[in-house]
Amino acid sequence: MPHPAVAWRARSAVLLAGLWLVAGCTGHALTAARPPQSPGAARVAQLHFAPLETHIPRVGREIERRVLPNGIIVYLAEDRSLPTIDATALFRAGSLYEPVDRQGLAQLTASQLRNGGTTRMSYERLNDELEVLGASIEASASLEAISVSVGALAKDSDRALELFADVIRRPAFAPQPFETARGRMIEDLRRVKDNPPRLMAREFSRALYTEAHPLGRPLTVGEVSRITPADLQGYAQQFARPANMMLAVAGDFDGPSMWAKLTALFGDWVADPVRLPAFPAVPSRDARRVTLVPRDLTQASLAVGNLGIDRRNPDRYAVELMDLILGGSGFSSRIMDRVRADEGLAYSVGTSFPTGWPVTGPFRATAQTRNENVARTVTLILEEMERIRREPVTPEELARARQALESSYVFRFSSRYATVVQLMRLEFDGEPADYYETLLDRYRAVTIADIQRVAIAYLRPDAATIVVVGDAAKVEAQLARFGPVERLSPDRLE
Amino acid sequence: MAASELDGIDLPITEYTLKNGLHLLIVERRESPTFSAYLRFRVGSANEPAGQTGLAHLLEHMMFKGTRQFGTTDPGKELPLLDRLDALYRDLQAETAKAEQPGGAADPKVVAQLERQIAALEGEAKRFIVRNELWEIYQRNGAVGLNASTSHEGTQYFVSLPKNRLELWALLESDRIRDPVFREFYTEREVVMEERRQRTDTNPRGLLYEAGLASSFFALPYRHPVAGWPGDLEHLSRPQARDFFRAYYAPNNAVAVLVGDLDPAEVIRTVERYFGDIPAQPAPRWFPSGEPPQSGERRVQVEFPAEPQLLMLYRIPGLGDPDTHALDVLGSLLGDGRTSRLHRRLVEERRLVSSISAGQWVLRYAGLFVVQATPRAPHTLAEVEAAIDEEFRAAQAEPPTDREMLKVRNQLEVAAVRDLASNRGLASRLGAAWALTGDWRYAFEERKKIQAVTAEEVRAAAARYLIPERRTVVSLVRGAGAPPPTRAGRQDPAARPWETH
Repeated sequence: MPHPAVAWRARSAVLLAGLWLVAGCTGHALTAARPPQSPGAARVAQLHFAPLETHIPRVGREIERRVLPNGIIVYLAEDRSLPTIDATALFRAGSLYEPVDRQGLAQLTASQLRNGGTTRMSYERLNDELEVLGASIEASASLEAISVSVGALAKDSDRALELFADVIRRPAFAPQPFETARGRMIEDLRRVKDNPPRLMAREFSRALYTEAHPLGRPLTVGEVSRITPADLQGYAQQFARPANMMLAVAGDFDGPSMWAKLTALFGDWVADPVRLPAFPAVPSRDARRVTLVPRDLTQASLAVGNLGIDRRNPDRYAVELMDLILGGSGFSSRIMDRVRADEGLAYSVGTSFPTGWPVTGPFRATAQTRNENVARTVTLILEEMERIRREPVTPEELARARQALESSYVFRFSSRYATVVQLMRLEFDGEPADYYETLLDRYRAVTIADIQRVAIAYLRPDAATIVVVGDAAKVEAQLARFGPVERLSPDRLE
Repeated sequence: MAASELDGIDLPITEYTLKNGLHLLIVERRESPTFSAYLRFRVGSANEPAGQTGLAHLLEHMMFKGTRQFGTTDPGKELPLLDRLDALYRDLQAETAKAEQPGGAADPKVVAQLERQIAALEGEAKRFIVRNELWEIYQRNGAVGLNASTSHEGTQYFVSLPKNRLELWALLESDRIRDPVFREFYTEREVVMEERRQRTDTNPRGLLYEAGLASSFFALPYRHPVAGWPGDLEHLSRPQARDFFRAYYAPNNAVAVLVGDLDPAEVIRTVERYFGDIPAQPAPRWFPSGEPPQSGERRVQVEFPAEPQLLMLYRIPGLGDPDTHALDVLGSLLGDGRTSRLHRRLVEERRLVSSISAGQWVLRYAGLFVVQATPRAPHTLAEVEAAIDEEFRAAQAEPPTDREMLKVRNQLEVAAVRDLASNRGLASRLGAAWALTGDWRYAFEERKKIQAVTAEEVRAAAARYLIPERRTVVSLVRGAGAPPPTRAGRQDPAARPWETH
């Protein structure tokens, strides 16, 4: 089956082919493993690999960090491998900073920074010029950041950076593209229920965080309809300030002249203090909750999880390794092994346990399985959550999870641009500059006892939030064994 | 643009063919101490025998299940059990098939008895399995992006590794194409059925495309979904997978592309050592049924409990036809980017749709120019279709402006440069070009031909191809959808709305 929207970007007839992949959507390709038992594994053990040192780029060596007088922090790296330049600006903003009565504001603001034109140039002219250059500027909003990025051929970099600065400093939020974007967002919300995994994710967040918290409050057509261009303007004025901005630039340029260019584009931007609201507290949850969203399809989409940790938690490295063993490392993790490989119940199954969130993030196991197999799949997930709390993981499992992290470490720094963005992100997140140089040691310090300790502390099978989007006639009775079932209408937000 | 950005970049490509026919492409790129490997076989779902749709894709999954030496503690004891399982599954299928005969019925006692025997034997076979061993070994050695994919015309296995793991790659990959064992076949068949449910049966867009392909081609095997029809999937067997593997997974039907921090001479030595003794096979004999000319517009309606969507597919020529170059430009002009005509008119000005895309999908023997639109309530599919037709008429009447042509050419230029940024992207681009045309240069030459397309050629292509007689229009409208299957994975074919028209 073709997925042309992706394939067409390749702009070549050769590559246009619908692809079916062996691995679905589960997280990192890192893993825990069992001891070598096969004849082949014995052969692999005899291979010798030349030592390979991972070179970790750092500020003061290949990467320069400078600060403009108005407070903009800049990470710069020359990279002559291709005649291109790329840059990303980060602002502390995003959906966690939205006013309670203006949900969707961050997303719309990011969209209209890019699509709403500037005070110097209409959006039509901006689009036209960028596309003639083959350059791109894009903006997006996440939980705690709005980012704007630019990419261009090096020969066009002066003009592309001018447009980039214009988009950031002088957004116009013109009414015409605003109306278009808001209408598209509303249409998109109308279609959430057509996509069972997306509907499941929305209802899982709502059940876990409750509607009292922005992370649990589903975006609705009503909320989006309230937003005006003036809201966007006000929001942008609040966060798009020099003291709230970081910039990472890499590409085919010479450092001093790029610095001069950036100074000319951003240096006269007046610094003023930025006040950001505090994050709302995450409500705690201590009881099982089972939610069923009826959807009459042949396959159900389900999630089992609980509240996890935030990035200030020193247990995060142990949690990451625990999650890799439990369900976060694709095929060889325990949940994938039982649900998919052993019982053939699902194609997509796995866990995610983000540890880098500024507020308490979710732990979540998800699967898509035939309606008839919902209870079996939920049971296997809960059993594995129990088992990793009850029994220590094996030394082999832990060693191999660590080994996978260590031997693939070199890929984190395989592109210069990705590296400058990562180093900027460290400072944005308040991590020390030597974070990547010491990260592997933090994984190495995690013991088997730590894994069990964090599993007990942060996995709550007894108080799990369980959400299933599925055929009620087939699923409801199955779910009763996990607790009282709350039944929701998939249409209730329209 | 006067000089091409690409002119300044010479790709250091080494090309080598083993005696057994395995073709090797190596690109040295020293930016990062890693490499990407891409192993592609010239086989896809289009090659499947009748009644075995989905086999190429299921086989791709099976290639991760181990070999005679990986994935097992004792192949001598395990393999005979797998043969016995095949026989039991064959008997089970024969028994359940009785129910499909007029007046026939399966004997529930026989079915239950066979299912018990199967469960017992599968339990026994499991004792010898070292599950997911290939993944574990790869991941322990720092692999990222380990995966494989199947399309109508290609099956590819890819992985990226630290540069010192070249020999590991050669060992694992040569072993699995020399001597794979399709253990846990029937469990994986269930997994693939779940994949189909996820990506097609519960996914409006998946259903739309499945109906669109099945209706656009009457004879060519592109009409079958890569995932396979449920009624075929549930009967696929391990012996069928073995036959298909033998016919198509030969070294002389494959290309291996390695891109990264590698020494070409060492790559050749290593590949010779590990792959050199895999025997060549007779070239597969496969000729697709030719597609008869389309005799008029086709309209298909898919009912499903979801918001409406529109898909229009226009029959165009296959790979290499010069018209595909003009159609590529036309696709870009109409559907690529914020200033493309369909986006500007339908998304921004008239606000009829929330998104729209257009472009060509070109296979060896035929292609499709595809337009897909998501209407904005309360606008109807008919309104959207009329608005698209209006843009097509404009493209047929007047050639694109100079500025539009400039835009397309510049964007091609940039895409050519950006493609070089990733080892994996470059490996798949070169490998696909070689597998489809026998020459990796095709990946670049095709772009040059697209660059050379004139505005008048674009207009002429629109006039020739974007006409109702060449198209299939698929509408997804709200409705109950197909009734649920009568048993696991089984769908009643007569209940599929697009097959009853």
